[in-house]
Amino acid sequence: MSADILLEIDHLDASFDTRRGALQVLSDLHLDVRQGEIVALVGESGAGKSLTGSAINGLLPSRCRITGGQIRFAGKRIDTLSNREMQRIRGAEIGTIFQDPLTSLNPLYTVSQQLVRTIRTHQAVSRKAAEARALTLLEEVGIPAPADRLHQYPHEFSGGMRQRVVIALAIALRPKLIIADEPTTALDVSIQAQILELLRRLSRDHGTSVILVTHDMGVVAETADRVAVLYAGRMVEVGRVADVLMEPRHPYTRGLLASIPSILKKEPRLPQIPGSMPALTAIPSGCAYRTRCGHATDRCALERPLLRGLADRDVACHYAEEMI
Amino acid sequence: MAGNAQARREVQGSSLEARSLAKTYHLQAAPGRSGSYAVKAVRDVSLTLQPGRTVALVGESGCGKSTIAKMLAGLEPPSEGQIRLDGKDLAKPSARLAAWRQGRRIQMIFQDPYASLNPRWTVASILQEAFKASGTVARRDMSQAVLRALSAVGLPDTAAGKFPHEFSGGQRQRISIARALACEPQFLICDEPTSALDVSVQAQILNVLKDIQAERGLAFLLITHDLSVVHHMADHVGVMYLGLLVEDRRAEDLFAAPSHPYTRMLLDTIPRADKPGRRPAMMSGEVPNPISPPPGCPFNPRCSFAEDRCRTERPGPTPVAGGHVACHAIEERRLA
Repeated sequence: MSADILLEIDHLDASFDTRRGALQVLSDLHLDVRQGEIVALVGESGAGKSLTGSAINGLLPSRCRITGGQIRFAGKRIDTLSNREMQRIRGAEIGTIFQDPLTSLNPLYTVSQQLVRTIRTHQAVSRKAAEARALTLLEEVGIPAPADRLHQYPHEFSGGMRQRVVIALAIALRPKLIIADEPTTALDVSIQAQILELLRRLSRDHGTSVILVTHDMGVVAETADRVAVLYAGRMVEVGRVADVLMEPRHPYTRGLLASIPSILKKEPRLPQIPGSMPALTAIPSGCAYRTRCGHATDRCALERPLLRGLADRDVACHYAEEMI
Repeated sequence: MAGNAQARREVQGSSLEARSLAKTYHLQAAPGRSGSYAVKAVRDVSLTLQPGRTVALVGESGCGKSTIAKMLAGLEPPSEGQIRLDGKDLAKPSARLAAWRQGRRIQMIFQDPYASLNPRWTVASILQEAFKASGTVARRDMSQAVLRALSAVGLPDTAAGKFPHEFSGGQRQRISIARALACEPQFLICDEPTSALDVSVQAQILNVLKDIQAERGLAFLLITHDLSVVHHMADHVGVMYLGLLVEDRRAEDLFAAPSHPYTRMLLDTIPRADKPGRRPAMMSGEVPNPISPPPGCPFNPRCSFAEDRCRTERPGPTPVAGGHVACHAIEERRLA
């Protein structure tokens, strides 16, 4: 392992406990995130991308638990930490940005109060110093007239400005890693561009690593360095954004990219993937994608393709070499 | 059914025409404050829906595109303007009721396929209700008609006996489409039909909509914020900003050479999967609060071409290739 790897997700499995037994939701996830790198987790709803984010910051839903593998952060295992120990890491070393900025802010406290509390929870600084810090943070995330806005309540901010406040909270303690879970999905395109630029700038200026959870391939293309494509709780393709998006090797990645309407050429019909993502209770044997795949053979039903290294990426498909 | 086919042929030429539509909502002031606000959600918008053609309205949240959809579907009465269909003005309450009885020629599908289907009804009863309301199908033909409606949107016969929760989002949207088509409408208003769906499912739904349009010659009004969906579907595009139509053009012309500074920025800003590493142009600022829109051109606070005239006088439509654009810079040829 090279020294600048910040986060290692090592063959991670996670399951939901249900009345009918354990239901596997994440299966054999394997991903390294280097310092200062923006890695996108992309996939359709139910692929397990948000759950992966929750597994990293220890916020899995109560009936969901890690059943195999490890998560190492800055060389230290974090998936076995107690809630109390994890609390010390969350916020200070791993920041989180959620989709809906309104529900991640407390409506009863001013922005200043929330920032000061976050800072003073983790660091022994005076209220005054924390407030000064809050002001520079608002400035850093690009809120105009930060001194006036510091003492306002979340409802006085617009959607884009609220998301900036959430980002200010996430970076308040200079975390090494930010998990951004669909940070721009609730925002308009013009605001989305501003927020994504802000994330890129933070990553560039402070060497912060970012895990960007998104369903939007366009956001991946313009923000991330590397991308991991998830399907039914498994990673199907991992590689540099330009490689994966321009020359997808997994049939699912290929189908997903083809089904996005293009702004350049007008086709009479969109190429579509038949069916939809299988329910967790009905994941097909072997390759999870085989029931929707045009290239599937008997081997795909019998043998699960593992993520294996090709020249420039990792792909979980028996026939990845032939998919050119 | 023969009679219906004939009826369809007779009305083939009719268009739905909105003229100078406006909608003002009056809001109560916040508790403890006096007075009330008037929000001009839609100001002076005209558009025409023609058989077999798709008009798309695009814009960011709060631009008034959904309000227009609701007015055309008869769910909201317009404050001003006319909605003309076969010589009648549907904006008048009396005419709207008559048009409604005529067999619901204007139908709508909504963004959220989870909220728009009754969870306690089977798919068959949902569709039968629509057939009954439209009066297009005799009682004894009902079960046949349900199966036909399902197959038209690519659902199996077995779907009829199931409840909405047994379907995925994409399948539910297919059920909504089947229900809207049950009345054999001429106009289908689609308000963000694929925004809640995953891209692979979005492709399926867009294909279904295109097939249906080709088969039945429906006129579509497509409301969306996604310009790539617009590019795929639309023949004509209206770009809206703060309740105003700022650009109104043939789709080909608009995508070949967008005219209004706002349209240009929208096209530059959308993230594109086909250009990894591209850094999108930044649009500064945000959409102003519609309670207090800026004077003059609504886009002037964010526009890099704005001059004094833009801040005082609202631009009227200037003819450009394939339509109109409301911009002083274009009109004065400061901007090509």
